[in-house]
Amino acid sequence: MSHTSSMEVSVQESDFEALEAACHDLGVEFVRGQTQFKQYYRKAHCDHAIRVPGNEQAFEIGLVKQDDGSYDLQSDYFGGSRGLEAKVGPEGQGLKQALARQKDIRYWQTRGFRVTQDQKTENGHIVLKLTR
Amino acid sequence: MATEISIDIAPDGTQKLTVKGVKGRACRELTREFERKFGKVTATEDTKETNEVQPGRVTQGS
Repeated sequence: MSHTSSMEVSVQESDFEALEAACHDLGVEFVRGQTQFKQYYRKAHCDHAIRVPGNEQAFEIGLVKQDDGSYDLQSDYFGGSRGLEAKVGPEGQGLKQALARQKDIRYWQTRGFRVTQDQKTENGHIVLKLTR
Repeated sequence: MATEISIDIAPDGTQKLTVKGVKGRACRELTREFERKFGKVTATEDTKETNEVQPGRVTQGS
């Protein structure tokens, strides 16, 4: 072993394909260019959005571009967000986990690594092993 | 020796990445760009191999 890094996932424009794949994994849809997202009592501005297909009542996630170029994932998780939270996990954490997995696999595969383990454990963690 | 990357992604999306099979500075070089693209690095921890010299690697002295 040489070193270990602990990291928090972020969303950049270059991650949109990974985000689309993560959304697909969870049964939600990433809609590029949707400029409003649904909350409990109103709609708010966003640059892109994530919605639950076939559930018009569900709240949505808005991707709001920040000054540093990254995107903040904003939503209203009140009352389970009418079905959104069941898809993306508590406060969207499941979406971040799925996005991290997609970003990891895509990055390392383009550098010659192959996935030798991709497993969800009983405690909800995803364990990846990649070898070159 | 093969290079192996192990990644543990927690339910909240935070993750811990560990590299095996690469010694010395080459290990940090391997993950530097990834760390920049992935997001925010909250902690790093060196291990014994970090300070070892990669076989076949020439270290130039002054």
